[in-house]
Amino acid sequence: MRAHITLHALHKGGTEPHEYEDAAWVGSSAAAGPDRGMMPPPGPACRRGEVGRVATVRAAVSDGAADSLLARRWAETLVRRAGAAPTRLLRGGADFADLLGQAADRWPELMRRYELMREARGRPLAWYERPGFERGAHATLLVAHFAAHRWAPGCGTWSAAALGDSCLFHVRGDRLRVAFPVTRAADFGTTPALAASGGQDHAAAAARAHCVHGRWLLGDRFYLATDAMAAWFLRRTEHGGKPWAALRALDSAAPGDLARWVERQRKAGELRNDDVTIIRIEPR
Amino acid sequence: MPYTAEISRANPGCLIFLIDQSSSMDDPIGRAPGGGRADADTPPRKADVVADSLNRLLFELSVRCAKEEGVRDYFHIAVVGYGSGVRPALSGPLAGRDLVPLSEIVAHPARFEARVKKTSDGAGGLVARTIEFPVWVEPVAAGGTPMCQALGTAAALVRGWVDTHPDGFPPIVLNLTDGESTDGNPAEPATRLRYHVTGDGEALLFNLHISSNRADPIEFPGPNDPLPDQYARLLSAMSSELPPGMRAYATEQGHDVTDSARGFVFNADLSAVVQFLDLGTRATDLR
Repeated sequence: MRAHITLHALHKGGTEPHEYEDAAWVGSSAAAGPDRGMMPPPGPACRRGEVGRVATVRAAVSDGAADSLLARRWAETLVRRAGAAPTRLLRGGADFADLLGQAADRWPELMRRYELMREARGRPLAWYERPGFERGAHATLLVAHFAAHRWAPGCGTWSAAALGDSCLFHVRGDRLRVAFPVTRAADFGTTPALAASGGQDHAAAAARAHCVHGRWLLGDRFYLATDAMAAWFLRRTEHGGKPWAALRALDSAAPGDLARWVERQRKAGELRNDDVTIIRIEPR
Repeated sequence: MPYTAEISRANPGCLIFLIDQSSSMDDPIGRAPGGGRADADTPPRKADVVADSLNRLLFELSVRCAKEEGVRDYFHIAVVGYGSGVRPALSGPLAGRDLVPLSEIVAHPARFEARVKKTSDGAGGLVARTIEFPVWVEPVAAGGTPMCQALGTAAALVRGWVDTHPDGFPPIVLNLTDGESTDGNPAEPATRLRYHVTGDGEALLFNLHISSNRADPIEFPGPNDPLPDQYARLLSAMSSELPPGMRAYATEQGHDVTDSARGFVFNADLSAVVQFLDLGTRATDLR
């Protein structure tokens, strides 16, 4: 299959670029090793690409909880793990909970290395970091998987799994076909379900995870977004607007253009001031 | 909608703690019959409970605002003691300061004390560990209870803050007292304090009544809920209602709060109100 992919990422207003705490990953689960990722993990940036002759496309976004000490590191761990996971782990709540558990299994080793790195740099963990370090980090996770039909051109299947309020939107023509897992702008809050780096009750995670699947046709567009952008998207749609049209205008945007557009939306009260991450995938 | 302004480094929040340091704070705290720890024969002094509550609250706030690069200045904090006088009550390097950015609070505790904390041993049991706990405020119990004067001092800080942060989240004043004002009726200065507004709402006054009364603890009562004594009734009446956002989060956390719940607690933990403040996506465990 082929796909046109655009990724926009911007840090929250009033923060520094390195304080961005979302994470995104786009790649092909069929590729091996470091070639899996088609795009590097984003800092605040605009990236776009055209990919071709891959068996599948996989994309994931994650939103690190603001009150977690190492939210960005955990969000990155989750999207990388989701990118590398076998497709079967995206098919049901229990399987998705397995995926979250596998990511959590990696966390202690990552933290051991992080602590050593801090000591080597002469900045050992301070008393005010220690509780957050021991408590671990929390983040949402949304992962979507796209595959081409075996022999029919221009169509295929997709599936997605999510914990929390990072969202996928499937647009066909000028109509929003699927909003997943949040379907109304009013349903966004400050306490979404989150994946915990310290591991969590498997049954509870499985029960709160959501899965969906469908078919795509040539010309369909998929958007994966963290909560601020997802709420903007849904609100616009609920008011009869076509947010995908506004986003299409950003397709060729440079990072500065994106920052100005986001700033205008924030000032108008249309977009909550938070990290912004949105991936557009147009399978072909 | 009021009380929805973002709290961030660019738009920090203002927390002003008033702590009663009068001689009556030397008395032991009341415990409900059957309440309290079984291993503690003597209830602690009110002054010790207040100082400890405040130190724990500053500790939790520091942890909540900590990021890899350091502690973010989401809040500026003042601690004012009232007893034999009304004056800034932070100890150590910050002595004499009023509003201090959180990062400076974190950088300059007066001292650390060793505390034993029980944590999981990873095998289903608990293991005792000694941690260094920062202390910024020491217990004091001397003099009268000039609560009206203290509220006036807080109002001056609030006025200065709203002048420089006209669109920010309104300042929050948290008064920790045993309730017996000795310089007049505090209801009037409490009302005057709340006259100061930002574009997001009027200043908030919350009260923690720490009492020798052995009644059950009470958290965030409605205006008509029964309260154990006249001081509790007065402090509750002069407390602001919890704003909708804080109320919603309190409900999510299992607190039973009505639409007109007051920012008042009786012999209970007031630090929850600071946890109610929205700083972004919060971690909630699925355990």
